[in-house]
Amino acid sequence: MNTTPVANAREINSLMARYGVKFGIYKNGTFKEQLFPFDAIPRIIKHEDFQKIEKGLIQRVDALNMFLYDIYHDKKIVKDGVVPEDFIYMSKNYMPECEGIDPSKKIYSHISGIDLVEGKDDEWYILEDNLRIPSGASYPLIARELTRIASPKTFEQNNIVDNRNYAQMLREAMDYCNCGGINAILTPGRYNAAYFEHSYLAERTGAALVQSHELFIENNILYHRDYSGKKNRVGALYRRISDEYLDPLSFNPESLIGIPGLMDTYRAGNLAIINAPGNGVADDKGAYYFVPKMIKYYLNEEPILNNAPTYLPFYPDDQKYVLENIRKLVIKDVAEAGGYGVMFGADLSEERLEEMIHLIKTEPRRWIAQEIIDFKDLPILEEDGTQIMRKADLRAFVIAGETTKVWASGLTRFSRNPDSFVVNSSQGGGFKDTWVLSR
Amino acid sequence: MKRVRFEYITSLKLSSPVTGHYFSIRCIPQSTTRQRIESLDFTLYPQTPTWKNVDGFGNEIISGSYTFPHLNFVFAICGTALTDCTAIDKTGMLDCYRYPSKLTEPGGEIRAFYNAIKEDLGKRPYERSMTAMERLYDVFEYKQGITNVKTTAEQAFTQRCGVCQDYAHILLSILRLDGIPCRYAAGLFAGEGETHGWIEIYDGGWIGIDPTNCHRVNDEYIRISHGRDFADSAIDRGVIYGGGYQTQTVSGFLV
Repeated sequence: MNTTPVANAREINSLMARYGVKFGIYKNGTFKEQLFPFDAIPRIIKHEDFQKIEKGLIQRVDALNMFLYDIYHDKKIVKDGVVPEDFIYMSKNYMPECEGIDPSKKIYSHISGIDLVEGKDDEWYILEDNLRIPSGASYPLIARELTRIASPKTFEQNNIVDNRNYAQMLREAMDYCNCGGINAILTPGRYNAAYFEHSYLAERTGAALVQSHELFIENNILYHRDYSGKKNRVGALYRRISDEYLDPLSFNPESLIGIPGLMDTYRAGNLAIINAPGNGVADDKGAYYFVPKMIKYYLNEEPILNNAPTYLPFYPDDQKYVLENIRKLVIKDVAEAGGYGVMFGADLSEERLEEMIHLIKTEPRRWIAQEIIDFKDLPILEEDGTQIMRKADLRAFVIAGETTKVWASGLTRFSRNPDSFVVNSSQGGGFKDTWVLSR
Repeated sequence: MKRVRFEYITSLKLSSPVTGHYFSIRCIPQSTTRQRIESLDFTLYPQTPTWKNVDGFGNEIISGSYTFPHLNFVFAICGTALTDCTAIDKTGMLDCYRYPSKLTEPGGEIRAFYNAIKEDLGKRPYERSMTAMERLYDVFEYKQGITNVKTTAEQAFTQRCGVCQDYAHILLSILRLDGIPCRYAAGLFAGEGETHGWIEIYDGGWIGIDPTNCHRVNDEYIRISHGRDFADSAIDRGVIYGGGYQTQTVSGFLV
């Protein structure tokens, strides 16, 4: 593997600081913005490896979109006994408010962030699907852009697929499902963790960057009032706020960042919401177990990419296995996201272990257990020029428009802590560029 | 079968003029085999353009907004209907009616109560529901001012007192533990007063039961909206930006 750092890494990091490439985190109740450290050694994915990943991801996202349509309409997969209904209706991410809604072009997950790891067995495993406005694409995008400035030779000397087409892919997907009017990116504002990304993507896709107080609904149509007072119809809204806050008349009535009546407009077919509300029912940790089954059910295909071996204590056989092998498994709380609620059996105190066993027995639906994938370490460049090895994952971005496409890049994140398998930007760590080789 | 006349009015008074006001109201009763709506008038004051939608549960929603200052907000319906509580209505069944919602999530108290009564509730879902309602009625007291619209079934049951919406939430919670599909119904019943809340269970079709009054729903009820719980069925939802305090009065009658 190539472990040569791109030249001028220090310069790239300082350029990123100047450009404001930041990631916000809430710690102990206060909001802090921190730089998302860029590591100069890229992750390199071979051409033929990426071809397989690409096929597998397209298949997965297509099945997930079909699943979402099915769940909010006929529920055939439940009626046919493939997914037990408990996993739909006990999930707090199932939203009856979305029942019967036909999203434009039947697309629910326009932008999917699928997290993968490469095992020491050279196989790629899916760790998690993120179908609710996943963030992160802007970081590798701008890192590549700055690397091109700081180290132009790197890209002349290597056969790397150009990743600058992300904005175009996004724009095409927005245009495709647009119900008439402009494309807009809705941000909660500059105190949001991903504000940098919102503004960057708006600039690159030509969409209007908007906040909820500039939006209003008239006769079931969403409008944006721009700085000159002109009223523009919005046909596709790439909203970067979560479902719960989207519409105070349908969801959390205390939301100040939502747009009253937005769900009506959406239901009436006058607006595409990107990603669609209600997607959580397909990407929670409980649904994850069923994705390979969804692929078989909807596409009649064998899954190309594997899940990490996963057990559902909901099934008695699985529960037995989990309780007998808990020390070597990782246990995840289905309701939690962002690296929270993840426990390694090996790390639990006796007391905590007993408690977990009790919880698994009494609330089996709440947990999944997985074999720990021994995934590859990647080299990280230290300040002094030495290299250290750290766990890293890959968030691949899949864009569903007229066709489903995988962005030939992605966000490679590594953990700061050498012993940690949890790689998540909400918990610190840094990122790398991801090179997909063109041949 | 009975011909009933009904009226419902909500009136909101604002202490200072408001311009940012959006509303979404579920006040149009659905016409079904069990309540055939013969005539219906809808009034809104001040007048403003409105538009209609149907929510995920099948309720008609009237939405609109005000962009001019106003101090009052009033909407009302009045109409007549032919009711027949024995008619079969199989429409609008959703699987989520068998599962807990936010306000009907059972906790330790409700589970313990259910476990104590579940053995001798009877056979059919209807029979089990009626018996569960009677058991609840025996231990729960009607008392105003203790609970509010955010009180969950578990919280209300722990206090053993509350109002119609608490009775309904608790019974929904119990029946869902029992696997019986059931939903919240908001509307009017015989006499004058505020709106009322009861439940409908599904046993070959929807059957209304009123846990506050401990009987099966008769021909003197008009359902205005429905959903998994009160939050889904709120007749009036609105957002007002700015402005001072509000006073709201709700009244209705059915004869």
